Amino acid sequence: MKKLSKLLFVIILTVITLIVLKGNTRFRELFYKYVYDTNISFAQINNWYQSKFGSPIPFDEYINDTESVFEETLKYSEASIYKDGVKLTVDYNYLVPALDSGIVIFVGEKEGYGNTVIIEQENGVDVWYSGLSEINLSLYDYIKEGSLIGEANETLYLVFIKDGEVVDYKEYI
Amino acid sequence: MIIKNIFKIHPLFYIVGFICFITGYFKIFVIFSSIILFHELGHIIAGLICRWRIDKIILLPFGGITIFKESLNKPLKEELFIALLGPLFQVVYFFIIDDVVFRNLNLIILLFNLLPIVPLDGSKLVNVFLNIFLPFKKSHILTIYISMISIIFIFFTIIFKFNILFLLILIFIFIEIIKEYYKHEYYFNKFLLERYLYNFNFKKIKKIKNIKDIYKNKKHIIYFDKKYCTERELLVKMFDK
Repeated sequence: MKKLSKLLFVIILTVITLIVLKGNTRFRELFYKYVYDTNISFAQINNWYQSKFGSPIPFDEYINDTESVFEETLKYSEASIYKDGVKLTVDYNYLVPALDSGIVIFVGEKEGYGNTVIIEQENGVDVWYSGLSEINLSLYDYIKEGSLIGEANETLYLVFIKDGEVVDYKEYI
Repeated sequence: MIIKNIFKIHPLFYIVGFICFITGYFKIFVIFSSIILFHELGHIIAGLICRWRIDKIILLPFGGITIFKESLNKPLKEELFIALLGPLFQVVYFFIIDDVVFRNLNLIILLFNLLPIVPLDGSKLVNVFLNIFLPFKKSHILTIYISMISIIFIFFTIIFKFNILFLLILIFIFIEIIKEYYKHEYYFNKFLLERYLYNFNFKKIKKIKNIKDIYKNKKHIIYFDKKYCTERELLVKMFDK
């Protein structure tokens, strides 16, 4: 009986949402924006939480393996617009450092970009590192600024996305 | 249905789960839960081998607690075996899976679990050890005192590095210690009553002057009313009314 009423409640909720979506365009836009296009910003919440209450896992600092952190920032010789982002010309077998701390939310292949890692940074910006020949991370790893993402051969694509919209790369590199 | 009655998840576990979810610590949380389950599996298997009846298994964010519905007069060897098999399973798990994050987390949980604080496995080991040299009543109260002193030391680590979840866990443990302290007399009476109700056979015999000095693994001759009597006679006097 309890389970049946729960099921009916879910059905009623879904039907009401669908009816409102059909009728109200403003609601539809907001719904699509917040439900489909934006992610929960884990990195931002984590940053806030850690500053207030300490790590979610006590003794966190002893758990994560300390990967090599570079001193230098991203080095490239040329930058040109490519699709939504920017195409950078880098050295052969270039070791790509992370621009900022964040959480890895995607590892895989993106059409037109090749091997891609998406990092959700603590400032709320999602950064795509694409065209990688080798990836040194796995999904949902927390990484620090300057940690190794992977290797790139001559070309590296970067895309910056904030709140579901592509933003200009010049502010960030 | 049996599993549902035995297996319980503490609210603290849900809180930690939720916080790990919103901060994106999915991986660590899954690894963490698997380690705890594997640890409990060790206790459960040990319990089944010794034919102890399991009362319930509680899942907590720093480890699990397996509670047995068993007499307090069980042999020390069995108690030691059950307390040890959980950490031992964790060590086995440590060597099976080759991953840095996994191993570090495993090690931290193992070390925490071996602290001599009451609901943790370390306290059970301490209690078994004390029972070899000291009477039941004394070793039980001493285990509680050791727990209290240890937890006060652990509380100091919070001052250096504040962590709200760790604080919650410590408060939970502290409450458990206080509960155990108030159950002290009850446990002693239960211990005596079991000795009266069932016949246990122990090889060693010891002369004592007070009923409070009864050892867990010995038979006794007690000096009472200016003469020596067996433990059995005294217990009959106490409980047969």
